[in-house]
Amino acid sequence: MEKNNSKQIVLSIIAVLVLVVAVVGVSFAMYQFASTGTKSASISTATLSLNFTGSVAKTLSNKYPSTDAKGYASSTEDLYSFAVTPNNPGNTTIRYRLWFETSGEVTGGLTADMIKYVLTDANGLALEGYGTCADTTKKTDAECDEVWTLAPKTISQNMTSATSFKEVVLNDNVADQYYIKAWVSDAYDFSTLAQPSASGETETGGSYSFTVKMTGTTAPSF
Amino acid sequence: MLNEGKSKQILLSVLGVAILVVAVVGISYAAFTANDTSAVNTISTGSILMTYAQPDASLSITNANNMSASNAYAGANHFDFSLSATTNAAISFPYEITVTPTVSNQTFAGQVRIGLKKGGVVVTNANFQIGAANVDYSDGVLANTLPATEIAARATVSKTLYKGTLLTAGTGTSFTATETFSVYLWIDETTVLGGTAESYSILVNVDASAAPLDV
Repeated sequence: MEKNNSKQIVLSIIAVLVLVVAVVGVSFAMYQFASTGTKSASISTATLSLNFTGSVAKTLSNKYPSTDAKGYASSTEDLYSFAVTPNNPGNTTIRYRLWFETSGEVTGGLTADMIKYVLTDANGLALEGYGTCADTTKKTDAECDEVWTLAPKTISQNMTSATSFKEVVLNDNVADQYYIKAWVSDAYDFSTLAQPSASGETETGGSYSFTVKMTGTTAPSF
Repeated sequence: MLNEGKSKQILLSVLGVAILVVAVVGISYAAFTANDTSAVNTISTGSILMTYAQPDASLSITNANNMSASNAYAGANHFDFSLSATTNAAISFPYEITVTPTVSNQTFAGQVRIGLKKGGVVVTNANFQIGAANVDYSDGVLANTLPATEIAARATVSKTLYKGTLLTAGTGTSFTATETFSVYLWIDETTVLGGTAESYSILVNVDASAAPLDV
């Protein structure tokens, strides 16, 4: 049985070889043709991208240490805003994280742990960093009938990818808009610069600058 | 025999596909990473300037007679000073004016009267005394805002003369406030003057603080 199979295979191979030789032989003898097409057909993958958009450098000046309630009540004109915009034509699943990084020189002891913040909507109402209220749509003490305490974080708590303030999984092509309301913590004390301040001595306080960093990936996790 | 061969082929095929999947997936994992940084955002504090100004020379009253408070306040023997603040927003500064005796003759202190005018208006009790047993700085609103050594020193020998609040006002980023004061020093009208001159001296202290802004 196996012998017969082997014979058939050998014969088939020989037959094919003979046919090839015959055809080639004939074409050599009769006609040669070669042509290259002018219309190419190609394919390339779409490219993914993920970028900050609408991020304009913003400086808040002449701010004094404030209680959380006062800082949270500050004007919407003081919001830092930016958007994370994907170019994701194939609806690929993309993960990204956002965190803070100190930028430039810190002056006057105004360090990252002295800057409090909450993520808000365009109206300045907290989306994250707010306290507890049975009705989660209530974002201010006045609105909430329960005991409500604002619970903002400091920038220093979210300064690495691993301690990001936001991790998002997206599979669409829609930009995520973010607003950050930040203020100088009531823990910041001018007196620490010179205690007590002398008459006629101007205390200029400090300055702190930060950027928001983003990293994105199509990997299933960071 | 045949089954064994087929099993091997299937196993190899599965392994091959698995390796291919891992390879392809591995490549796709590494295919996309994105990193971006926002614009630089800055937050900076406003400034605070407080000034305690004493435009006149020290007050020295000699050959003082006993007198009533009203006569003392009507007289020209006063020591003037002002307290001012400059900020970039409306800031409230609670302050406390204390006096510290600079001589050790506390027996005579009971005969000395000290008065304070703020903006030309008397703001202290006419019978204010600076006796050693009458120290009340520790109940001041600023008790916890000064360094411990300052508090101890004030509490030991000083007395609160007046407590007030300086509130800066203005527009834009220019806010100021100034208050003017006059300290009056006299011998109580009930004092019987003796054959030997007694003397008493004080220093005026002003301590202020500002709490974090609140709603």
